[in-house]
Amino acid sequence: MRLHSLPRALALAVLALASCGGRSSPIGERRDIPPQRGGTFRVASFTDVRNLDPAIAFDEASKAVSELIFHRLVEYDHHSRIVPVLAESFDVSSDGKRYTFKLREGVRFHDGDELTADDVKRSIERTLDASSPCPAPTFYSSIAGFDAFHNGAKDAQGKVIVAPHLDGVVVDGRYALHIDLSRRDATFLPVMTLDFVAPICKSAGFKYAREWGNHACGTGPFRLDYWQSSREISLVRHEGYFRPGLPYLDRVQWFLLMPALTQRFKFEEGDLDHLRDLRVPDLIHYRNDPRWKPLGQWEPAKTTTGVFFNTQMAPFDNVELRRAFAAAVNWQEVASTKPEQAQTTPEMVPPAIAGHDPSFPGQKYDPEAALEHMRRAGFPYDPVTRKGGLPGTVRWLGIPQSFAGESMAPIVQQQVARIGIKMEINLVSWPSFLAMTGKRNAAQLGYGGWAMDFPDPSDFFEPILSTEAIQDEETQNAAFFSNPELDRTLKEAHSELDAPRRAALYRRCEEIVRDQAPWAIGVGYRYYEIVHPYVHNYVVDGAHTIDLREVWLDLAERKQALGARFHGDRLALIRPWGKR
Amino acid sequence: MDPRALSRFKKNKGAMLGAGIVSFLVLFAIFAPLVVGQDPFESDFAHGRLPVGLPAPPSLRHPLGTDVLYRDQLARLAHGARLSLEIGFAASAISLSVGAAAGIVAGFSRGRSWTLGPLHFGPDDLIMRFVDIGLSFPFLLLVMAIGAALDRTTEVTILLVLGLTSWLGTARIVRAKTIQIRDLDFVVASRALGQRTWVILLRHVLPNVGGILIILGTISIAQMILAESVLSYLSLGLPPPAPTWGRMLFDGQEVYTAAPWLLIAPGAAILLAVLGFNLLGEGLRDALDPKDS
Amino acid sequence: MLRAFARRLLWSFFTIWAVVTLAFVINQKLPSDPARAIAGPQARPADVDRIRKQLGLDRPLATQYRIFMGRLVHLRGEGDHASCASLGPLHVDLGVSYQIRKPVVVVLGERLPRTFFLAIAAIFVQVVIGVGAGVAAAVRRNTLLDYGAVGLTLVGISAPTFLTGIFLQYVFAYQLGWLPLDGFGLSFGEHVVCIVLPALTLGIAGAAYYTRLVRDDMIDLLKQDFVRTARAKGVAPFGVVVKHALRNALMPIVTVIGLDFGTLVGGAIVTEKLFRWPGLGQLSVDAVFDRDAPIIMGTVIVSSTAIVLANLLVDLSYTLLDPRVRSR
Repeated sequence: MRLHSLPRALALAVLALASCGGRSSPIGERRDIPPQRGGTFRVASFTDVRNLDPAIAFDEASKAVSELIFHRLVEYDHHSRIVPVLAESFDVSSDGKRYTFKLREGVRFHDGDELTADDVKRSIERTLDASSPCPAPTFYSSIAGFDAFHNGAKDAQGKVIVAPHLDGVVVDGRYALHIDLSRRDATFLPVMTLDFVAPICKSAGFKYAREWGNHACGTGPFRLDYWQSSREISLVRHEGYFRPGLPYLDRVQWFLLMPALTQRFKFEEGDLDHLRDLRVPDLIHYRNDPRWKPLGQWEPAKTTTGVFFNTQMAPFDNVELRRAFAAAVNWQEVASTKPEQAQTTPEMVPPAIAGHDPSFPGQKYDPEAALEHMRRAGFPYDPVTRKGGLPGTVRWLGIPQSFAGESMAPIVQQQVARIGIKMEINLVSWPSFLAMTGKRNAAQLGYGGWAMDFPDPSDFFEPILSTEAIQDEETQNAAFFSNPELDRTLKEAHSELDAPRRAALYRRCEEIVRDQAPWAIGVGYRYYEIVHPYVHNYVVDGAHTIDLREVWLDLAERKQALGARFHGDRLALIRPWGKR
Repeated sequence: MDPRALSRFKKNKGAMLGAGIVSFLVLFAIFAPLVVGQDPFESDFAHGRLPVGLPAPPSLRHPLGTDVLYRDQLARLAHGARLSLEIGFAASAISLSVGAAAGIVAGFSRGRSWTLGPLHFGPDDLIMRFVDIGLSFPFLLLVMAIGAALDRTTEVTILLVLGLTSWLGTARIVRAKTIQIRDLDFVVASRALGQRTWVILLRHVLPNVGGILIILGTISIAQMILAESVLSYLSLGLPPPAPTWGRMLFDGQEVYTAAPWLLIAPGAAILLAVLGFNLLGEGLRDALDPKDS
Repeated sequence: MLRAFARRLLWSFFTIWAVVTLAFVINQKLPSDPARAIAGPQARPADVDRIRKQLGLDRPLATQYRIFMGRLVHLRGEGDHASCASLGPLHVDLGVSYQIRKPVVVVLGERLPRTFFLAIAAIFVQVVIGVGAGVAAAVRRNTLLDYGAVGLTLVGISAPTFLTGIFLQYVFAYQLGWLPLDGFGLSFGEHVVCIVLPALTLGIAGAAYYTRLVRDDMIDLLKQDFVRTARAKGVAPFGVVVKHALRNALMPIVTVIGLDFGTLVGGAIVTEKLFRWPGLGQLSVDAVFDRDAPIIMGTVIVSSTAIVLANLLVDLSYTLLDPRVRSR
C-alpha cells in the first residue's frame, strides 16, 4: 500500500490512539502454512436483512452483509485507522476543505465494468438525491452544494430549484476526483467509510430504484448470488476482485432470522462455522472450556447504555438529584446480569471508537455521596429509618424484552430505593418509546442508549446532548440537555482536524456530561465471536461485523472434525438428513 | 347446590382431588408470601449468583434457586400465585360470561330476523358479524392501541384486555352448541308446549351448554396465565418487577439450558393449576349434569 | 338457500371492509411515527422529516384513506402499476412496504401459501391427536386411558409453544437427528419434512380443546335416546360411536377448526420464528412494531378474509352436518 498524505499531526495521532486500543492477533492465525482457497463459510444472524441497496441499508444485519459486497474509497482498517481502499491515496488541503482522491486503477465491479471517478460521483449523488429514501443524508451536509442538490434552493421568484448535480463532488479525470466542503468537518472522512457512498455498478443508475437492492452489485470481495428473503443470502467469490488471490473463500452462506439457541445447535452440529449471537449460558460454556477459549474473541462495545434524565422537567431539572441518582447506581451489579457481555464504562464514547479512555474518572458509585447529593437537592433521606427522600414516584420509561427494560430497570429501581427515590417502571414498545422520549415534558427518565453510527466521538454527543438537537417532538436529545459550554466545545471539535486537540475537546465534553449528569453512565454491550478450529485468520475488531476478506478454511481439517463428531455417534446411522 | 349433586360431587374422587388442588393453590397464594422469608423484588448478588454469573441453583437459602436477576425464585412463585391465579380465573370468567350470553342469544335466535327496508337482519347476524370483526381484527394492533390510550398497565387493564378479546371465540363455540341443543327433541317439545323463551334458555339450554363452558373455562385458565406473559412482550403486561408465573417462564427461557429450575417451578405451578381446575370442572359438570338426575 | 348464501356473502364483504377501515384508522392514530421507524431509531430529525414527506405521511387521514381505498382495487389504466397484482382487468394494489421495499402483493403472495400450508398441517395434527384422544377417552370413560389422554393434552396446553418447540427441536433434531432443526426447504419433499416439527408444536398446543370437546360431547351423546336406540338395535359399539355420536360432536369441532384456522393464518408467531418458517407470523408482528402500514394493512386484509371465509364455511357446514338445521 502506498503511503497517503494525511496531515501529519492527524495521522500520527490516529496511530497513537489506535495503539492504545490494541488488537489481538487473528483467531486461527497460521504463519507456517500458506492459506487454502475454497470452501463455503456459513454464518447466521438473529435479525433479518432488510435491504442491500447501500443508499438505505443501515440496520445491523444489512450493514454486516453489505460490508462484504461493497468497498468504499476509504475504510477503517483493523486498527481503527482510516485507510484508502478503492482510492489509492487521498489528500486533505491545508484549510481542510478539499479532499482529493486518486482511484486505484483496474478495480472491477461484480458485472465486470471498471470503476471510474464518474461511478463514484454517480453513486454519491444517487444516495443524496432528493427523492432517495436514504435515512441519513445529513451526515454529508458539509459537502459543498449539498443543500441545493438535496433540498433545492429558492430562486428570485421564490420557486424551489433543485440542482441537477452535487457541485462539491468534482471528477478530475478517469481515476481522480476531489470533494469540496463548505466547512471544515472532522467527521467527513468517517462518514466516507459508510456504505451510503460506496461506488455501485452502472445498473444502479442515477436515481434510487426499489428493485435494485435485490441484485446489489459493487466492488467488494463477494458477489450477491441469490437472496431468499428472510431465509438466507448466498454470496460467491468476486473473481475480478482487485486484491489478487483474495478472497480465499468460494462462497458465503448467510442464514437470516435464526434464534440464538438454534445457532448454537447448528454450530455444534457443524452446520455453522461461526457464532456471534450467544446466549448467556452458551457464552459461559465457550469461555470456560479450554478447547473453545482460544477460538473466540471480544468485539469492543459499540454501544453505550445508561439512564437519561429529562433535565427540563421536574424533578430531574434539579442537578443535585441527577448526581444523587448517578452516584446511587452500581453499574457493576447491572452488568453482572449479562456476565462479560455487559461492561461498565466511565464514558459516553464506547470502546470501539478510537480515543475511548477506560481510565477516565467518570461518575462513581458512592452511596454516601449519593445521600449527600440528596440532602443538597433538598430531599434528605435517612437509610436507617427510611424517612425522607424524594416525595412521590418517578416513572422510568423503557422497552420490553431488552436488557435495559428487563434487567437494568429492576436493578436500578432497587438501588435508588436505598437513597429514597421511588421509581416505577413503565415499558412501552420501541416506536412508542421513541415518540414519548422525543417529546418535550413527556418522559422523566428512562433507558438512555446510543449505538455507533460511525466510529467518531461526535456521534455520541451531537445527536443526543446538544441544544441544536432539541425539538418539541421527535428529538433524539431525550435529556433535553442544553449546555452552552458543551455546545461550544462540540462545535469546535466538529471542525478541529488536529487529533490531539480534538481528543482534548471531547474529554472536556465527557467531563461536562459527568458533572451535569444529563445521563447516568453506564454499560456497553459487546459481542463475542467464536469460530471452529478449522477456520483460519479470522479477525475480530470494532470496525467490521464479520470480516471474511482474508479468512480461509482448512477443508481437510473440517472434514475430519465433522467426521469425528458424527461417525463416532451411533445416531449418525439413522440420520437420513446427513451432513450436506 | 342441589344436595344430590353435592353428594355425587363428594363421591367423585377426581372432583375431590381437583377441589383439593385448587384450595391448596388458593391457600398458597394467600399465605405463602407471608411464610417465605425472602423478598421477591431484591436481587441477592452475594449468595444468589454463581461465580460465572449464572443464577444459583436450589439451596437452603433459596429453596427453588434464584432467577436471572438473582432474586429468590420461591418468593417470586409465591407472590406470583396471587397475580396469576387472579388473572387466569377472572379473565376466564369475563370471557365465559360475555361469550356464553352472546353465543346463547345468537344461537337461539338463529333464523329470526327483522326487516328494515331492503335489509333483513336478526340478532344472530348482528352478534356474529360483530364477533367476526373482532376475531379478524389484528390482536397486536388492538393491544398497541389500548397501550397507547392508557397511561399505565394494571391488573385490571390486563383482565379487561384478555377477557374482552377472548369472549369472541367462546361465543362462536357456544352458539354452535346452542344451535345443536335447540334442535334436540326435548327443547323442540317444550317450545311446542308454549314455554316462555327465557324459561327454555334457563332450564334447558344453559345446563346443556354448561359442560362446554366448563371445558372452555378450564382450558382458558391455562391460556390466560400464559397470555399475560405474551402481553408483557407486547408492552402491555404488568411492568417489572411484578412476578407472574407466565413471565417467570418467559424470563427463564434465555438461560434454561444452564438453569432448568427457572422453567420447572413456574411450569409445574401452571400445570398444577390447570389440572386442578380441570378436575374440579369435570366433577362439577358430572354432578350437575341434568341427564343424570 | 341461495338467497341466504348471497346475504352471508354480503355480510362477509361488510365485515372485511369494517375491519380494514378500523385497522387503518387505529394504525394512523397511534402516537408513534412510521417515518422514524423507517429511518431507524437513531435517525436525525431532518432526515425523518424528509421521509415523512416522501411517503405522504404528512397528509390528513381522510386523504390517505381515500388514496388507499382508491388504489386497493382499481381498473387497469394509466399510471403506475408496478406494485399491483392483476386479476384480469382488476388490479389490487396494497402499496410498497416501507421496510422491505417490495410490493406488498408480492410479499404476501410469497408468504401466504406457506402460512396456509402450516395452518392446514397444524390443524391436521390437532384434529388427529385431539379427536383420537377424545374418542378413546369417552369410550373408555374413567379408565387409565381416559385420564392419560386428557392429562397429556392438558400438559400440552399448559406449556407455551416456545417450550414445546424447543423440546421437540432438542429431541428430534439435535439429539436424534431424525428431522431438520428448522428451515423451509427447496422442494416439496423438503417442505413436508421441515413442516413436521412446527406442525407438531402447534398441534400439541391445540389438541386439548378437541380432546375435551369430543370427549364431553360424546359422553353427552352416548346418553341420548337415539344412540341408546341404535345400541338397542344391535349396531356394533364402534359403529355407534362413529356414525352417530362423533357425527353429532362434529359441530363444535368444526367451529373450533374454523377459529383455529383464522388464528393460524394470522400467523403462528412464536412457532414460525422458532422454526424459521417464513410465513406471515413474523412479518405481521414486525410490521406492527416497525409501523409498516402497507404490510399491516395487507396482513389485515388477508387474515380477515381468511377468518371470515372460514366462518362462512363453518356456518355452511352446520347445514350439511346437521340435517335438522337445514329445515330452517
